[in-house]
Amino acid sequence: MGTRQYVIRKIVQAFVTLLAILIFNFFLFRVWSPGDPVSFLTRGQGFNLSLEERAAVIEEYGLDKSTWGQFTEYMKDTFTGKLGVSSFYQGESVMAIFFRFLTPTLLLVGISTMISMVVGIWMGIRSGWRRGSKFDRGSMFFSLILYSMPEFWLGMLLLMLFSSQLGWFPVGGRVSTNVSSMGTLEYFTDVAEHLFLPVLTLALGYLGEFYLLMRSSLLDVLGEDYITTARAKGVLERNVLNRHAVRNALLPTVTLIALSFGYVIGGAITVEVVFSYQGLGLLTYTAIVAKDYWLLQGLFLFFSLAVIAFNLVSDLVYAYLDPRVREA
Amino acid sequence: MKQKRQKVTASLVLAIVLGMLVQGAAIGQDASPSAEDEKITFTVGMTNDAVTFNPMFMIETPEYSTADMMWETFLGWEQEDFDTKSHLATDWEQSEDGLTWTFTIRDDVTWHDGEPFTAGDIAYTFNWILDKKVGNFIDYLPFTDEITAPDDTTLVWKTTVPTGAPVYPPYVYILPEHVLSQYESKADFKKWKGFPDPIGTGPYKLVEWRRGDFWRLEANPDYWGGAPEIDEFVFRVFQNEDAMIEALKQGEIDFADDISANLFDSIIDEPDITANVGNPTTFTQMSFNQCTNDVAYCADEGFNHHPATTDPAFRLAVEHAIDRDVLVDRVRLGYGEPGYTVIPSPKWHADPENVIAYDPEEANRILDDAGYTDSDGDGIREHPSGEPMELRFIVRTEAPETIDAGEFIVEWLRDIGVSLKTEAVNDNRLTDVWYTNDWDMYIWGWGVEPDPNFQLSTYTSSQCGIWSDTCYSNEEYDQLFKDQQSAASLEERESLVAQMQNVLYEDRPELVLWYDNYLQAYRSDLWAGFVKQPTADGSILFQYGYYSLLNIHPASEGGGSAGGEDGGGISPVLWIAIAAVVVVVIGVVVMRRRRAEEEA
Repeated sequence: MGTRQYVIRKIVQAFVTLLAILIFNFFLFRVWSPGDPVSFLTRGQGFNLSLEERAAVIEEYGLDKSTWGQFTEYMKDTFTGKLGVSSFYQGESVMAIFFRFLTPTLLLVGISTMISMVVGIWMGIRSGWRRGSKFDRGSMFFSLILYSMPEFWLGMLLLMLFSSQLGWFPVGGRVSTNVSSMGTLEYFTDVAEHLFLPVLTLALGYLGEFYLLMRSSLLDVLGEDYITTARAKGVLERNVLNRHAVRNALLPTVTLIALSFGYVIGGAITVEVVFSYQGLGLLTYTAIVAKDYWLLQGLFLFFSLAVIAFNLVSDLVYAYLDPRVREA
Repeated sequence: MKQKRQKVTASLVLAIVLGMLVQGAAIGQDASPSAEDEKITFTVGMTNDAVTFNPMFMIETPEYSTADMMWETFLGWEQEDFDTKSHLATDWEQSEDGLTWTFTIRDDVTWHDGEPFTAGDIAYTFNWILDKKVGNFIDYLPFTDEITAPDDTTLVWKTTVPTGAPVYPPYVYILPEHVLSQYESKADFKKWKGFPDPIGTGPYKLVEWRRGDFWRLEANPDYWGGAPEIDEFVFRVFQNEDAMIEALKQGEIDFADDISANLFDSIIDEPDITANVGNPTTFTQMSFNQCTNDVAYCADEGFNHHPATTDPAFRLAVEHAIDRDVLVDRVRLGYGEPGYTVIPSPKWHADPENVIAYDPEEANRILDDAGYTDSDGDGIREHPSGEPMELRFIVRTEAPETIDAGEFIVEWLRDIGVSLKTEAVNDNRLTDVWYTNDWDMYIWGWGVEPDPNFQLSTYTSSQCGIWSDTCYSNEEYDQLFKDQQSAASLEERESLVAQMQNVLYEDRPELVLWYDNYLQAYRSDLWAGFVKQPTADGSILFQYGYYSLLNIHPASEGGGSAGGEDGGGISPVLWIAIAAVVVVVIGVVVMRRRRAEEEA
């Protein structure tokens, strides 16, 4: 099978998955979960609604239609890019709300994932290469501790130490309350100050995963015959590691990297709560409790898109890196 | 070639480090108190985010706290005891027949946009609310026949029956006619979130709103009551209360509102913080579903509850089984008092005639007598209908104290053979459940206004599906409610209000558990000038009126904003960035050297 067919097949698979998720989401939010946003909508309108007024609100949001009617409208709107307006945020467009929370989330989760990826992989390589060394034992110990520690708890520890005791960092939030009177650089440092602890928390929390995977796959590779062959040929140790071992060991890690980035926009709700850092995680929670169908649909569409897209990327990169995959 | 690239990298890194150092130093200088026009900023911590500041569609407390600063009511409340006082209206009188109220309106007030404020704005706002049936406010305007403004300083309010309701007074924000008239329908108006450009007459105006982070109000220098001392008021949103209290300790915020008892205990000894225990204006109650087919809303919407909740004997037994003193001591840590009736304010409060004492044996006896027996010997009684006494019991995740109280109540009721299945839910979910009448018991609370009218209205039959906790329905009570609204004298109204509290206590559709003290705290090293409402033992901010708001000022001369705290020096982030760059530089150099050695 050629490369082209492989790529096409993967893309088609991605679309089918997305379609299945879209359909599933509809039933998950509107049919299977109890309650509906009507009480919230009508309460927001003020009490003492007459029955006609109540009906008007329900009609405005299309909730008077049958399940099938709602479903066809939902699919039509989704594919024409109309995500509708949120009921919780009283008529604001879902798109605008999503983008308002996107940047802080990308900053928080994106940066932490990046850091933990680079550091974790680097540590994994060193550990695996010098198995049993002090570095290996030390980093194994710490990674396992960090890996098994709940992120919110780690966050609270860091908060207690760096904010409460030392007073180096603000106790939470995304920006100081006087941002409007700040210059660009001041604003930048302010945002960085607020990001520091939550990013550190998540980076430490995510670190173990990358570390452990990289270390074990490197150890696997180091036992292969071609490594022995390379050494027998007299290849420099450094080149054995970089050109022969790491390249092969990175393959499973590529998948993990792609998946991790797929989950970035999902936010990190527990850490967001600890640091009062409102991102997409908390927004999702708000949307769920308010039964905000439109916001939920929009959010889950974006989340699914991200995961599917990065999966696709991972498949394609994997195929590029490892020709065996596309030949198969 | 390789040599050259290495040099380029090194100099680039060096440049970045130097640049950061220089900029860091510059920041240090900026933060020094060189700016003469530094604003006085007061920062308040909140655990609820705002969704809208549209004064007619708000739900959450911080929304109301903010709106209170921008829009005003036409009458006010005295500092000392919440008596009605002049505000935008200066004088008022009721006609002989009691059907016409005439108010004199101030002529020295302007809207934030410079337009003059007149009696016409008040009439327009009231009529708009009546016309569009704005639920948040309409109950403040009962028996209205006609509200008109014959001239700019006169407001005439005609009612269909003699009533004192216009001077209770209505908690209705007055909006400018020239803004309100632009909106055709309620739905149209609702799209406006109270921002941008809120036009009010109050001492502050909302100028910035960063969703999820904070919002900022700026002083209105032309405020008719005098320009406020504090230039900016900032509300900062926290996702959890611990972080908010920590921020108060760190000086990141100046004021924390409505603190829970255990956190309040943790700051009471802090040297720079003054913690205030305000007298109760709220109560916490346990409600029983009173839906029957006789109540229209219940019949229309359907309902589902355990048969015992509508049995007075069962509710009486529950009251005997509950020890309110323990709840106040263990759950509220003493910041409250046992409560019995639905009006906590001393002025209108009436003690019940027969207080039901804690007496589990009596509770058991009552249940035995009423036919609740444990026939299968599993320790759980059965309802006379045969249904096991297992009831659903909802407590609130937003109020951890209700969860704690719930644990006590579950134990107490187990002792009388009643099993409760507790579920902790958030308020949105509870609202949903309550709307669909599909519940047995829950704990919730009420903030009670100075005047009892609104609170008492929530127990009338017509409020089922609107404000009524339980869909309680009692014709005698409904009549008493109308009578107190049209009472001829204060004494008569007082006696009617007392009677109503007693009817509710005897019927017990819900059990008031305790009255909560209002717990607030502020940085007393930075701020002074707080006054209480009521004067003796009340709250110190977010009052009915601007008593503290217009009186707070920095504690010492030159003491300014608490926001500029971490001025001076280079911020830790910069230090860390510098350290990271240095580490990277060293790492790169070492690696290059090693590589060079290996390749050699």
